[in-house]
Amino acid sequence: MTEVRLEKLTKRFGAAEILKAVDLTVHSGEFFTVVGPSGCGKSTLLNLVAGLEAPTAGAIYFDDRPVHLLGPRERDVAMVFQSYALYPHMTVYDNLAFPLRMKKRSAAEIDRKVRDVAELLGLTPSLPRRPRELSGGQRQRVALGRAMVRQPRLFLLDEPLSNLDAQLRIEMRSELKKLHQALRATMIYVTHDQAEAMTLSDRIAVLHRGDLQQCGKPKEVYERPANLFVAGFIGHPPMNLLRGTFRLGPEAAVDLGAGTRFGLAGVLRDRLRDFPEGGELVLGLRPEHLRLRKSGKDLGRSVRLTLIEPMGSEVWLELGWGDHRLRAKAPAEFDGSVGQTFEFEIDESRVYFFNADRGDRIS
Amino acid sequence: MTQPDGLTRAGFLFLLSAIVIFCLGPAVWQAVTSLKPETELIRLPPILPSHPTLDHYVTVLRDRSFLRMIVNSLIVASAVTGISLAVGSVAAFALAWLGFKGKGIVLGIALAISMFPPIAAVSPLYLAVRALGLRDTWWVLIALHTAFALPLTLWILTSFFREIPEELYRAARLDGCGPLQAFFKILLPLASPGLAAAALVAFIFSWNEFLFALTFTTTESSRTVPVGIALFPGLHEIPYGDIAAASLAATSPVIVLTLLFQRRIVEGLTAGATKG
Repeated sequence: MTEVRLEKLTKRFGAAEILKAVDLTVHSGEFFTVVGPSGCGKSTLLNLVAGLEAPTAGAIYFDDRPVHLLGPRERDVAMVFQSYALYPHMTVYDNLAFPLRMKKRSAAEIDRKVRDVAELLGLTPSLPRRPRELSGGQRQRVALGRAMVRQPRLFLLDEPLSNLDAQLRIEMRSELKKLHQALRATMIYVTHDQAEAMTLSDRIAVLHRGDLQQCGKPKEVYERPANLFVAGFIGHPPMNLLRGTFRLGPEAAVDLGAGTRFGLAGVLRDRLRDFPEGGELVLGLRPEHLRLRKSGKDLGRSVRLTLIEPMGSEVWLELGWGDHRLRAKAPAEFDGSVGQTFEFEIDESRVYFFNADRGDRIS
Repeated sequence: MTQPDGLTRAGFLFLLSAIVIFCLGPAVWQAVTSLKPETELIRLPPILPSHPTLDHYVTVLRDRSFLRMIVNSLIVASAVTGISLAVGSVAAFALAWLGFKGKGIVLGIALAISMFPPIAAVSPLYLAVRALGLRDTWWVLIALHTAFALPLTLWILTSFFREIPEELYRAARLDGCGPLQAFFKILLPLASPGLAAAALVAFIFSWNEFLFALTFTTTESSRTVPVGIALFPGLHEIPYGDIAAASLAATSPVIVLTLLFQRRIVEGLTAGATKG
């Protein structure tokens, strides 16, 4: 179990800055996920921690010991790759034994550990086979096993599930979580899939263009996104983000243009008390927080249903609100048809405001 | 896909047989000649020998100088193959996997060398070789053949190494290999079809090379087979039968090698293509 600390970690390739002075601490025994769209620098971050690449600036500490000048061998970390990176010319047994053989362990110890890991992952029947004879899920397990077999101080997982089909991915996801609970090892997981990040992790870090956007428990990041990027990235379907102007006057509101206004009463108005009149802001409403009602008092939140997407357990709706389009989620029993008009409601505590220029959330 | 009609099939067969005849014709003619008795050698008909004989083979294989040339050729070609593979594989590893400046230039120069017409280099090389006192030795042939075979092996191996997914190298590094261990334990075994292809190319090149062998060898102590066969014709007669027998005897090792390696090479090429 190892605590990993990154200090002002920076990586440049020529003029391109892939990572910009990232500060991050991964606690000992934690399942930590770095999530972000492709090209955000998350794989580079993993390579730097693994020692496969050298940082341009900054430092990496394992339990307060600087390691960024050490080679991968000295760091004692294991990595699971997206492509599994199994050695095609070796059997499953040899693949699993390889890291131990490199450590010059005795044949008896190697045999015992390989068989233990194979047993744990259900790979025993596959031991004499070669990677090309295995299914995707089995290859994935071999890759995990090769990482586990030498009990490294740190596991790095680089999008290990993204080559699997949807059903297997969910299966492996829960297996991975159980595995982490059994091993209690520090794991850093990299993915672009926010659902994986949310379900697996103790904490997540959202990375965008080499910048750390936010770091925290999945629930925190979901409930209190630090900025527009996080708000739009975490959540499925993504948060509705509507740009408007803050207006005071007799009735405070966010003016969304073309006569559409989002009225701000009581608490909401209070939250914007330091925001300048006429300032640009972005209103954030999560689809799952919108409630539709067929009739009621007109709050200026009259929306027209334009699309229904049944997802089985729920339906996704697309709504027209003035010039804006809103996404909403409703239970599967939702009764309505395209063209109908509804009023939407939302709890005041579920409404987000973001600074339109800087993107940060206004509390 | 439609079934090929009769005409297409006929055309295909015609083309195929034309190519086969074109490629194998000379070899078959050599084989026929090598089996003809002396009296039928320069007469037509018969096309096929009326009394096939192994006389020419016996003559050639009893000739100690011919055996000596075979040994020379074997030693030179094996050394050239060995050196080309040893140096070429490490260099190709660096070119394909390690980042350094001027990779393109190195490969470009290698290509330029392999394109260089040997005939243009013979005269200055002759002076250099004489000055070094290396005339009529294996060493001079090994050195010169390697100079031309190495760029070819370098190109072949570099492209083979590039086919190997990079994550395998990174996985090996994390599993505790140093760069060279990763090379020997993971990359080299995976590039073995490439090694076989490169070895074959280098060996055949050296085995068949004529110009340098003719220029820099003077006695049978270092003379290789192609030169030896070319020097068979005496003052008054050309021993066609012996030449044909010697040619076939000299070609057969290469054919055997190719057949041995062929499966591996083809396997390797297709395995790389499908990323199985």
